[in-house]
Amino acid sequence: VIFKILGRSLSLTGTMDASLEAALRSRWDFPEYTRADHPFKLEISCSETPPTVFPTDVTASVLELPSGNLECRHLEPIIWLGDARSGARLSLLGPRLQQGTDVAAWGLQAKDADVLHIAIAEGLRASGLISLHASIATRDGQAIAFLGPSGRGKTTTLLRALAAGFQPVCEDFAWCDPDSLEVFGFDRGLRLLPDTAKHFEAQFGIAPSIWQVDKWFVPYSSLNLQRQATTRPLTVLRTVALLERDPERPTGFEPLSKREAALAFWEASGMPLSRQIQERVSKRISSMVSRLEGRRLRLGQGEIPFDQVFEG
Amino acid sequence: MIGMNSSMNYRHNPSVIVTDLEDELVLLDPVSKQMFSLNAVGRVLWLALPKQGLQGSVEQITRSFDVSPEQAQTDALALIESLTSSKLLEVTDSGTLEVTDSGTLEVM
Repeated sequence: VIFKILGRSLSLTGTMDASLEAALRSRWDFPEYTRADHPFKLEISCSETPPTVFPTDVTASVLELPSGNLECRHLEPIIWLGDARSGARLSLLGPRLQQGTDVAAWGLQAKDADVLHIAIAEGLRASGLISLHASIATRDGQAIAFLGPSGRGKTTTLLRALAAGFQPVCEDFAWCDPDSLEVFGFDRGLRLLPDTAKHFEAQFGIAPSIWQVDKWFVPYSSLNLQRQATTRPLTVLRTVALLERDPERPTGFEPLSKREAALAFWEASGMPLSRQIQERVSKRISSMVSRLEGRRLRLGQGEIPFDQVFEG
Repeated sequence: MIGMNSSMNYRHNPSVIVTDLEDELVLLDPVSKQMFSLNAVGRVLWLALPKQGLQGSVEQITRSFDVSPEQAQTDALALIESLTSSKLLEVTDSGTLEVTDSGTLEVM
């Protein structure tokens, strides 16, 4: 076992490219989350060639990723990612896929990190978690997730929440336990577009100094927000707020229907590869929507009434 | 006039993911990534159609909601048309049911 992800063990056999392993740790190793051991096991084995004959006769679907397109072949409970030169074969184990996920990887280099990230994410979904592309803020153990498509204002809204006394859970990505509704941020800082960085500097008096690809990176640890560095406090999701821009109207919260909340959850959670996991995520979303408070946060004129976040 | 089939079987596209919110439904096509939502009436139709067919579904809608049979038929056919054109719902045929210009269903 090289580390645990929210109590689920991740083990590695064979030789992995050092840069790839560094990318793996950077993305998934959050030792500050001290969770009880979970029986689910993620096992990654690395080799130079596919573990069995690559199924070229199976029609591939294409996953469009920022790093490029990735072919995906379904032979459930086996899923093949990539091609015969480099890729990973996921074996989803157990009668309900909840026993573990074996990932047999071959020919992967640092540039192929997304293949492993997708495989691990599928395994975590199989283990019962749900992923959320969202910015999330917390106060007094209660969290609000800001949902919406790219450009809708998730990062800016998080900054405004921090200025109002909230703590950051994540700026971009989190895992949620749908039973307990606990949320766990899986990023290590804010990533700010240049214009947002200017506002951030004016608001917080901190000049971003780390440029990563296309954004400024500001580690959470540099924010001086009393965020604990070694352990993160238990945070339970209570509210989801779908962001909408309307510059003509006052900023404020409005009710959100369960249907709209479910749609927003699906947008934020991403689509599992496995049909069985898709169905299970669907049930989890239905359950979460019924237990969470759904709000629409209209971003218009004036300040966000953060004192109303957990009302209703 | 919309051509429909009175004794046809309807089935959900097996790839569609259904999120049942108990009083409404969200349908997600994992291939196109398109999402659709159905209100309470649409939910009843979606759930009843594969087992009860069109006529049985319309009767259930009429029993469950304050709606006339004619209006229920019209709404059901419009939704079926939308669901089939979106490939969320699949049909098999035999015998043709037509919606007349007056809005009623007749076997042709």
